[in-house]
Amino acid sequence: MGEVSRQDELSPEERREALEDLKSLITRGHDGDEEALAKMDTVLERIPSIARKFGNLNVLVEEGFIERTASNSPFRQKSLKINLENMREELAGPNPSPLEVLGAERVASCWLQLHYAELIYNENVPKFTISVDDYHQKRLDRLHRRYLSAMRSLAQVRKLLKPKVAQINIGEKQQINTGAPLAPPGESGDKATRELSA
Amino acid sequence: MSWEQRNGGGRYYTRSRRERGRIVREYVGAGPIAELAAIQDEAERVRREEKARAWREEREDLDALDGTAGELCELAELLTRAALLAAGYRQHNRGEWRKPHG
Repeated sequence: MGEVSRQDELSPEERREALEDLKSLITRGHDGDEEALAKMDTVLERIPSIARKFGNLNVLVEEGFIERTASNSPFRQKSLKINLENMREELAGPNPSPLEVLGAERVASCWLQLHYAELIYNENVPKFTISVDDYHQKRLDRLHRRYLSAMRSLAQVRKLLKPKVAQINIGEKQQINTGAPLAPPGESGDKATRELSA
Repeated sequence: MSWEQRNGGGRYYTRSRRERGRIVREYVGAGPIAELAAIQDEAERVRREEKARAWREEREDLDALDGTAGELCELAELLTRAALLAAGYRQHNRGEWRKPHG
């Protein structure tokens, strides 16, 4: 990350404050506060810049965990980075919205954390004292919950916020599906549409 | 672990340990054997302290990383909720998001 973009980043206290503000905005919006709902649109338009202000947290998290997971193997570090990048791209899907990009980053980060936590637990469990074992068990539970929540959230964004597939019938037997990927060879457009809208 | 001196006599090396909730003091002895026991105990104490310090540092590192990851999760979660609210959805009993009828 360059110096210029770092200058825009919020400090940890400012980040906490921004999260609290967002939380209160959501609570008000949920209670039907029109002003809060109107403000939310502005917030959503600024998702990429908000994420930037948070300073690429996923990069910080990933670098920290990769360093720990594969500190003595540059090859393993490289392959883990490629693996994560592929995972993010696959999760975000084609033409992702900013929210999907953020959601995919979150799932990939959570997967890495959980993977690392399981790794250190399995490698060291015979050496753990009861209190250390307890700490790791609780941590694993917490990370597992976070991972599930990240996937659920991304699925919600996909299911509820993606534009619905629109069908425009131009000719008598002609059909154009917009917003849907091309059907694989051998499959009719109808079937692909049915699957997407299911 | 400590050295004791009684009534102007020689020094005794003692160890204290907890047994069924009570502190029990064990008299190890005096002379070279006691010196050796004291050295061993000191080495063991240093080893335990090292281990505890290493674990404390490890835990602080893990907590810091988890904290950063937690912030990312919180941000993504809040923005998702904001987007769902702005799209007209409402969460029912902290569960499913649905569009209110009417």
